[in-house]
Amino acid sequence: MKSTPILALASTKGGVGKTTLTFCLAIEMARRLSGNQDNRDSGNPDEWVVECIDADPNRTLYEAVRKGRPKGVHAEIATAETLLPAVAAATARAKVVLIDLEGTANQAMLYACGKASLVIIPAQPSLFDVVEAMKTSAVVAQAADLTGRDIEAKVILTRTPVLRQRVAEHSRRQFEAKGLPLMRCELVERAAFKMMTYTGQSPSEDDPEGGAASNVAALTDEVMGLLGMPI
Amino acid sequence: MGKRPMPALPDIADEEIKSRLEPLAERVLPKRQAAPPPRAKVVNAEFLMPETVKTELKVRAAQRGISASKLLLEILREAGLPVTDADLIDHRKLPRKS
Ligand SMILES: Nc1ncnc2c1ncn2[C@@H]1O[C@H](COP(=O)(O)OP(=O)(O)OP(=O)(O)O)[C@@H](O)[C@H]1O
Ligand SMILES: [Mg+2]
Repeated sequence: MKSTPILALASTKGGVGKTTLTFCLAIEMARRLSGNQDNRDSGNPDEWVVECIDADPNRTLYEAVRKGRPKGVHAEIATAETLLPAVAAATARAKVVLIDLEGTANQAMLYACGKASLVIIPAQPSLFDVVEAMKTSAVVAQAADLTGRDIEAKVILTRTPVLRQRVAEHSRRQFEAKGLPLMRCELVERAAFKMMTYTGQSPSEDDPEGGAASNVAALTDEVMGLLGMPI
Repeated sequence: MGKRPMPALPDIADEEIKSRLEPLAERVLPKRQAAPPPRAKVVNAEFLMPETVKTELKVRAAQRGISASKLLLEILREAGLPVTDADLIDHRKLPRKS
């Protein structure tokens, strides 16, 4: 039996875009995995192909999914105590499980890292974020060591300027110089992303031809590839 | 760069994951401040002792800037009596600064 991939989004620093990324990825993955035209969730558990576990007490992701009711996506809340059982139940139901964490080192983050197949560490292009990404990636490496599992960790640059390519290149080099493996895709700074977790609307629904939607599509390609899922 | 296939990750029971991750929690999680053990009730104990000993106790305590009670408790702890860290906190009022 093929095991369900588990993706955790983690950072020891808050506000770097974990929830925004999780939400975009969940909606786009569900769209691809369910292959159904109807856009809204019917509430039928058989149609939940993507399970989001919101382990952040602020519940931003959970609320966004509740508002937007995206097709094929189910969200639930978990604490450090309930996270592992929630992941186990979710993997049994869905085709992929996404875990959104609080922006700080905490017990839920350790458990999520210990259980994940892939950990994505969002970071903004700043030197401070390089340091934070190193902390998070060290936690993942140690979790992998202790659980004897080969857990991959990747840093994704978020809120990068659309036009200033040279700034982005410079900051990619800063991360690479510290041995942090970077994803090819970035999450670009866009108004469509800014509003998303408040409105519950993802850019791939709002404006499928827009720049934000194509950013999400490329990102989803890369993440599903890393998770070994057919694209 | 060729894509390597995702390695099959060993499936470990939840309890096993938790216990294996315990040392990591100790290393990276902010330490929860353990509540200090309660200070035992303080009573006024009257014991007879030679005046010279009492004087010496006060002098040595004054030299270290602590109360004679605290010094006595330190000595008693050295002798193996059940004096905890909390008992050793010097609650004597400190002299007012200017
Ligand atoms: N690519 C982007 N373009 C514009 N705004 C963004 C982008 N990514 C995130 N934001 C905004 O930045 C803020 C923080 O993003 P988000 O909530 O996704 O971060 P987080 O890592 O989940 O934060 P926390 O650690 O508090 O959970 C939000 O207001 C969000 O709308
Ligand atoms: Mg968040």
